[in-house]
Amino acid sequence: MRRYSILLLIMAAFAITDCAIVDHGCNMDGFTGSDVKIGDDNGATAGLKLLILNEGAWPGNSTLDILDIYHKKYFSDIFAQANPDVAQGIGNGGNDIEIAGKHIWLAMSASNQIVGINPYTYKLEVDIEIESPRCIISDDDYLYVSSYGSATYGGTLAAGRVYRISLDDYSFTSVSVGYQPEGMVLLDGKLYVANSGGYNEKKDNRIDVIDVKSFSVDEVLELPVANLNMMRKVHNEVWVSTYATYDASYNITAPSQLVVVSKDGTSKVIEGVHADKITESDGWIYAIGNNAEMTFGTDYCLYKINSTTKQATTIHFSEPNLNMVSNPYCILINPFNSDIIIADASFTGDSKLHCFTSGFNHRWSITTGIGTGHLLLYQL
Amino acid sequence: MLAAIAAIFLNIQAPDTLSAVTVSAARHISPATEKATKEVLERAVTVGDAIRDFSGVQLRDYGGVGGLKTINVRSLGSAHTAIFLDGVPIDNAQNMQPDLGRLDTEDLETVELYAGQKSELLQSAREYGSASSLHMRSSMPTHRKTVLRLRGGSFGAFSPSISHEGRLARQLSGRLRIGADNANGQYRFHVKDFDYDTVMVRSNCDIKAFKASGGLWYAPTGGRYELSARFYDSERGIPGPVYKQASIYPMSSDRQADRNFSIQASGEQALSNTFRLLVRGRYSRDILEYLDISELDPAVSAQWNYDLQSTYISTSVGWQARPWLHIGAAVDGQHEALQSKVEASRSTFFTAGSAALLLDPWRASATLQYQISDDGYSFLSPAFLLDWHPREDWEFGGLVKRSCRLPSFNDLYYTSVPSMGLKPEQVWQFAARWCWDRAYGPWHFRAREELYHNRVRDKLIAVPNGSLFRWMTYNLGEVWIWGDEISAQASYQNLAGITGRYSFQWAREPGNDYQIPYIPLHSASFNLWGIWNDFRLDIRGFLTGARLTTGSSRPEYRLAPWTTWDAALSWSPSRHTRQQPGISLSLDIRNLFNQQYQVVRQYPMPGINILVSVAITL
Repeated sequence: MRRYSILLLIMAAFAITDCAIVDHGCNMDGFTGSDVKIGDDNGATAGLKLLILNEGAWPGNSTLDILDIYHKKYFSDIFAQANPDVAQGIGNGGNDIEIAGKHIWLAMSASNQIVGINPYTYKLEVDIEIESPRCIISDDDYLYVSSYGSATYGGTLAAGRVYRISLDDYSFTSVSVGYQPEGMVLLDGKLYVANSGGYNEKKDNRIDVIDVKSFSVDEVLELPVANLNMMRKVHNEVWVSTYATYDASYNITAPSQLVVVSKDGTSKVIEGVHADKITESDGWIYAIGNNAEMTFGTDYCLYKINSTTKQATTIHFSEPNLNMVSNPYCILINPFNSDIIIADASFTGDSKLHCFTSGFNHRWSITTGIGTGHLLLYQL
Repeated sequence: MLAAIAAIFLNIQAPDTLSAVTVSAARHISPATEKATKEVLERAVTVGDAIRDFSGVQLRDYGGVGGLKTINVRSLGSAHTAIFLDGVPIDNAQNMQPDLGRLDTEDLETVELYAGQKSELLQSAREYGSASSLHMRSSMPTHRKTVLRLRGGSFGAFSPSISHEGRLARQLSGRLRIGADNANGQYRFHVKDFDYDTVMVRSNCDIKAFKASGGLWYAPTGGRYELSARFYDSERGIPGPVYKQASIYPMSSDRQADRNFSIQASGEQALSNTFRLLVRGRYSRDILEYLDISELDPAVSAQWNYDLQSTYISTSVGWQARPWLHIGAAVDGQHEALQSKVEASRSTFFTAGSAALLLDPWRASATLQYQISDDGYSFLSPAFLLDWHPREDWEFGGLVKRSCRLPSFNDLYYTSVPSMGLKPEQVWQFAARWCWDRAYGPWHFRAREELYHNRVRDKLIAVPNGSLFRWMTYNLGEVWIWGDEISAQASYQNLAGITGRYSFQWAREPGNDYQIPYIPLHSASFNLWGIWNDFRLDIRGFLTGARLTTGSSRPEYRLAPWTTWDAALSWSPSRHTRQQPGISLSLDIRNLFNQQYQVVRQYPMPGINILVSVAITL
C-alpha cells in the first residue's frame, strides 16, 4: 500500500464532493462488472476503490482489476474495457502501482514501460519507456522508479538505476545505484533505495541514499543481510524486507528477513520474522512470509511488528479462521477500518483476495485474476 | 494381394488378408491407433508435420521453422508419450519428449501411434510402459539410389540434402545422408484482440542446421540387424513469446545452439521356429547452449549449458510356446547423466513380461512392466488388452492399463527451488474401440471409433512458491479425461480418397467446471487426395476448438478456435515404378486462407506460407 500524500487527500476531498453532486456511481458506468459479496463494514465512503494488479501467468500479460468497495462490484480487466484499441493491454510483468499527479501509474517490468492511466476514466494517457521498472514512489513533483537496468538473470553484472520522472512534462533523468534495486522510501529529503542483487550469485546488501535535491547518491549503507526487497518508513526509521537467498545447488542459505535501519546506518534484524512482503499502517509493520522456509516446509504467517518496541507477534495462516489463505502474496491494510487485505495468489488459475478484521476474523473473500500481486486503495 | 498393394499407396491401414498362421505372428492384439505410411511421410518434411492430423494428437507448436514441436496424446501431457526410433527410445530425462520438428521423415518407412500399448510379441521392456508411444521405423534400402533434394520457400528457407543408399553385399545394405537447413524464419503476424489489430514481424527466429546420418542393415535368414548413427548441429534464434514491448527494444535476442550425436544398434534373430531374441542399444549425447542476451543491452548476457549423455541397452525374447500362447519377456537398462549448473543422473532398470492368448476370433494379452530407478522411484505398470475379430470386416477391442511417468530433470532441478519428494505421475487408461474395414471392388471403406477414459493422479505442476523467482514442482491434483475419437475413410483404388477425423476431449480436474489448459473440447481434421496421371493433389484441413491457457475460465485466458487449410500439388513421373531415376516436384501451400492463430498462447503461428520441393533421384 502506498502512503497518501497531502495532495491526494485534498484531491480526494474535492472528488468526493464532485462525485456526490453527480451520482455515486459516477465513473464506473459504462464498464462491465460483477456484484461481489463483501459486506457493509468496509469503512467505505463513496468512491473507495481497490486497484488490483494481477501479474498474470508467465509470459502472459498483466491485468488491472478494480474492486469498487462502495458499490460492491468487481471490474475485471478495467484497462482493456477502457482502452479496447490499445494493443496488448497494459503489458507484461506488472510490478507496482502508485497514484501521483494526475494518474495511476503502473510499472510494467517485462514490457519496459511506465503506464499512466486516468484515475476516473482509466484511459491510457501517458506511456514512458524505461528499462525494467520495478517499484514506483512519488513526491509532489516527481515519480521515482527503481530499474534493474539491462541486467539479465545469471548474466554479466549490470548496475541498476533509479529514474526520476517529472510529473509536469514526464521528462526523466536517472542515477546509477546497486544491483537490481527494488523498494524505495523518501525520508527527510533523502531517497533510500534497497538493492537486491537478485540476478547475481552474490546478492546485494546495500542501500543507496540519494539526495533528492541534487538527485545523486550521497552515501551507501551496508546491511548485515542481503537480497533487499521492500521498504517502508515509520517515524524516522526505514524498514526493509529481504528475499530468501538460495545457493547454486538451490539450498536455502538465508531466509526472508526484516531489518529496521536508522538514518545513521545502524540496523537491527527483527528475529523470527520471515518477511517476504511488508506493509505499514498506523505505526505497525505487517509482514507475510513462510515461517518454515529454512526446512522447505510451508507455514505461512502474518507478522505484526510494533515499530517503536520492535516486538513481533506471529499469527499462523493455518489457524482455523485464517486457513483459507494458501499462498499469501500481498498485504494491504485498509486505513478506514484497519482491515487486513491479503492477496492469495495463484499463477495457474484465478487468485483470491481475503479480508480479515484487525482481530483476524474472516470477513470476505473474492476471486481475482492470475497472480494477484499488488494492491492500492484510493478514493476519488 | 491387390488390397495389400493398394494399402501401400493409400494412407490407411492394410486390411488383413493373409493366411491364418502368418496372421497370428504379425497381427497385433492392439493395432496402431494411427499410422502414417511412406506416401504421407514423403510429403511431410518433419515428423511433427506427418502426425498433425492423427486422432487424439495435439501438436504443441511454438511456431515458425525452428519452433519447438511436441505432441500430447489424449490430454495426458507430452511426457506420457514415449518416442521410439527403430525400437529404441529417443526421449531423455531432461525434457522428456524430443523436438519432433527436428526429426526428418525422409528415410522413414512408417510412423505409428499407439494410444494405448503396442503389443508385438518381441518388444523391449520400455515399449510396455508409457501411456502412449510413437514408433518410427526407418526404411531399409533395397536398391541403389541417390537422391538430391532441394526444399525452399517462405521464411527464406532453403534446405538441400543428398543421400546415397544401396546394397553393399547380398544381405547387407546401407545409407548415407547429409543435409542442411537454413532459414531466416521471419513472418508477419497479427496481434488482435478487442478493438485492435496490429501487424508485427516475428524476428530473431533464424535457423542454421547441419544433419548427417548413416545406417547399415543386415538381413540374414531369420534375422535383422541395424546400425545407425546420427549427427545434428544447429544454431537458432529464440523469438520467445510475444507481449507488449517498449518500441525501442527488440522482443527477444536469445540464441540457442544444439549439437547431438547418437548411435544405435538393434539385432533380432530367430533362434528356432518358435523362439526369437532381440537386443538393442543406444548411446546419445546432447549439448545445448542457451545464450540469454539482454534485450536492453546486448553486452549483458548469461549462458546456460546442458550436456546430457544417455545410454540404453535392452534384451528381449519372444516365445511362441503354442500357436495359441505367446510369451514375451524383456529387460532394459537406461542411464542418463546431465551436466550443467546442476548435475543430475538417473539409472533405471526396466523389466517386462507378456502373455498373449490367441484363440481366434479372440485375442487377449496381459502384460506387466516394472521399473526402478536409483533416485528412488519404482512403479508397476500392468496392462490388459482384448481384441475380438468376429468377422473379417469388424473388429472390437479394449484396453485397461496403468502407467506412469517419472519426474523429469527439469521438474526436479530446474525450478529455482529443488522439489523434494516428488512422486511419479500416474495414469489409468480405459479404452474401448470398434473398427469396420471393408473393400467393395475398387472402393475401400474404413470407420473407427474409440472411447476412452483416462485418470491422471499426482500430476506434476510447477508453481511459483511465493515469488516469480521461486518455483517449485508439486504433485498437485488429478485430471479426469473422457474422450471419443471417430475417423472415417473412403478411397477409390489408388486414385482418390477422403478421410475425416473428429475428436472430443472432456478433460477436467474433478470439481472444476472448466477444461484443463490447452485441451480443446472439439477438434477435427480432414484429408482429401487425388491422383491424375503423374499429379497428386492433397488437401488437408484442421480445426481446433477454443482452449483455456491456464486454470481460469476468464475470457482473457481463452485462446480462440482456429481452422487452417493446406494444399499440396506434386508431380512425379516415375510414381508407379520407384526404381527408375527421375525427378519429382511439389508445391505445398500451408494455411491457405492466412488464418492468424496461436497453438500456444503468445506464440503466433505463420500465416499463408509455401514450400517448394525438388527431388532428383539417380
